[in-house]
Amino acid sequence: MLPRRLPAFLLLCLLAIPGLDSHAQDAGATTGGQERGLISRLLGGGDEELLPPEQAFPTSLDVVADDVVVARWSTAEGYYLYLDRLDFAVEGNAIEGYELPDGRIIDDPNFGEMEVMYGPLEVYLQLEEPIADGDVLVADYQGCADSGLCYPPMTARFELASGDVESAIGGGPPPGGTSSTGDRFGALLDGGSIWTMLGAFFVAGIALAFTACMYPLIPILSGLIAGDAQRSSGRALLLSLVFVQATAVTYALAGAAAGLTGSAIQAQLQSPLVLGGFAAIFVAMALAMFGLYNIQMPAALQSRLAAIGGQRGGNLLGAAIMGVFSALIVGACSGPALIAALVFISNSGDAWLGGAALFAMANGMGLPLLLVGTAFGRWLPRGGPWMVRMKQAFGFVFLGVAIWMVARLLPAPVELALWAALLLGAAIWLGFAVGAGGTTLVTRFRQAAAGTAGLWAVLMLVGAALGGGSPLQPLAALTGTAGEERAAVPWESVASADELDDMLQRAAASGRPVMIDVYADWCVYCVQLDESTFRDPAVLDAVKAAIPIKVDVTAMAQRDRDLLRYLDVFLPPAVIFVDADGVEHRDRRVVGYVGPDEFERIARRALSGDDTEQL
Amino acid sequence: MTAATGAAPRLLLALAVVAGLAAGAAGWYVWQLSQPDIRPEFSLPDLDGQPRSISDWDGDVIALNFWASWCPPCIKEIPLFNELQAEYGDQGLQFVGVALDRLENARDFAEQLELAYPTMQGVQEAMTVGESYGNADGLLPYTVIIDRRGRIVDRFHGEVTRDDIEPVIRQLL
Repeated sequence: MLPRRLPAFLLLCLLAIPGLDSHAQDAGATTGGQERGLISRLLGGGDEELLPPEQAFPTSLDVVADDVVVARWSTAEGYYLYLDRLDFAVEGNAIEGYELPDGRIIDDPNFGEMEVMYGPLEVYLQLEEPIADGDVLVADYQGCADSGLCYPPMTARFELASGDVESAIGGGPPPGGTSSTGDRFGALLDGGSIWTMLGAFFVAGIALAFTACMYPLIPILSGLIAGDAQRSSGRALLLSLVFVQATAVTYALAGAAAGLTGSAIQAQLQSPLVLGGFAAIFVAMALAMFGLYNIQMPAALQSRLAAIGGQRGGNLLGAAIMGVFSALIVGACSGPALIAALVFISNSGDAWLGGAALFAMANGMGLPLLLVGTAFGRWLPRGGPWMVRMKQAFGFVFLGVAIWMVARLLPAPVELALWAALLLGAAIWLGFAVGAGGTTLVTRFRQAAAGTAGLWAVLMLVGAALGGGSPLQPLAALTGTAGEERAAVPWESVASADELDDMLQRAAASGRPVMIDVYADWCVYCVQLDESTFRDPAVLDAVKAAIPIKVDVTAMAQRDRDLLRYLDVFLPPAVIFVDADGVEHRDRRVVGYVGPDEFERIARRALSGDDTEQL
Repeated sequence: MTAATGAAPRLLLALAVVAGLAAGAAGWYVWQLSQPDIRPEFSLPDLDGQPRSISDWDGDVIALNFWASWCPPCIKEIPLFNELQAEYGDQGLQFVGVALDRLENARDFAEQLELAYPTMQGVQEAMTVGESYGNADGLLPYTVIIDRRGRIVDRFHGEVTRDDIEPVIRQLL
């Protein structure tokens, strides 16, 4: 009975955490300086919460004619700018004149009448000469919040030729955390309540859990539960929890390290040695599942663990270790939320907040696993011949995971042959080794399934011998359908960062936009992008104006690391758009898998270059 | 079912331990936050260019006010500070200003407002001081109350009224 109450208990614990908020609010008023950033986020919707200056007074610039620009402030509600504190200058050019709109007059006893502007503000500036390269508009502005707090004088600098903007406060360095990704996750990290932020990353994690990248984790966890000596739903929940928390902590730590060092450990681990070793572990576990031997930990370690946590410590530790490796090797998947957190960490150095976001995301990714694992543990037979068969079945699943892992390093026909061998083995096992038992009907059905699987496995072997690669269409090579490749993007490959730099410069000189695809064979989403998105006719049409460059970092050699660093990419996939002027539209980067429709939309906007309002 | 019934209490125990540790850590953190901080040491030039240190006023109850000429609410509350300085000065209250401003602007306003207490001044350095006192974004006005033992006992973001600040000061005198 107790295990049934456990989920409710856990839920209660989770719900109790936001309750801290009210206590933290009292304490927050008297808190120390360094923590203020985080604390003010903890306070969430408190009255004292003030937007960071770049969100209170977002600034942008449009070039409307070759000698007219318009500076815009979309001042947030409850904030205002002092019109008489606005000041403009153009480096490399001069301002002929500009006109300010009428603001609201407030009578200040010390300053006299002052004109302030609530809401959006537009200032048209007439320049003396047409804009040339290197012209920079410098705008000084200052504003306050209705709550009675004032922001220090701010300065925004706009590169008029390229449309780039950087802002600075009080002449100091640009404020940390001004994420250039411009996406909603970056914005959440830069401001807003920490609970909203964690919640959003959690939900993003749940969405990620249902993508191809996370599928292998389900058999891994199920196998761990099936292979466990003890058995109960509570036990399955505990094992799943340990596994999921291990992945979450790993994600958070690896993410913090990646953000601070600029390179993701997940990418470094995609070497044949690591993948082969991990696959070997799964083969060993599969053999143990087949009953060839029992996996035992060294006796000394085992007895120590037994002393700490009862005899179950061993398998819990196993689950934790598998969780860590699964996060690093299997789940090396990029995604907008992951990249936003990494960019936030590397921009702001705030590894705590970024790590917390990743932790929340990984918990979201783990939630379905938790449910699957617990349900599986409940449904699993408690012992007897059924249990033995179940373990053997998972032996095959583990072998499948091992193949999946090394498949990214193997040619397609070899991969197909391996799958065929696995399927053939499973068919033979299903047909003969499972043994008698059950009604005639069940036996018949089993034999029919075994026969079908065996036949298909033979077809796959034939397909592999013919050079085919698709498990679902093993004989495609025979019928010739494989030859009719659908049109794909005509990628140019690039070998080094220097070469890429060279290509970009030539493209800018000839006024052509560029699309760069950062790709790796081991990156599930990259392969998906290649096989579906980059073969869609609408997508091909949308990107035909751009020079397509493929950066293949499969090997993760030094030159690949240099390329990633040059492009400021943590993990593939990343599709980067550079417009005809040679300027990258950072907020239009595609990280993670995006379907053809959405990709077409993003590509059209990024390559048309009419998104200057998106500064 | 023996395994199930045997596992559940231990599992519950493990979860209770985890929950207890989490609650303990959270409690410690909240307690930690509620503890007064010792005021950071700093020195900045005053309006005559003489270096002044916050430790010059050790032993007094200090109201440290960050202000600027570009900040209307700051200017608005300074007459109140002048009054409070006059009323409680002989009991050991000392207002100290830090202007996040250029020297000439700060000097003009100090004269115009007949500032009745010393003020220091600086731009980037004063911003850094504000940050070390818990005002990361340089938002003004910002006022910190420090007791006779150098502990920060209260912080005010934004303009203060007599009702806000007087009880805090009286309690410390």
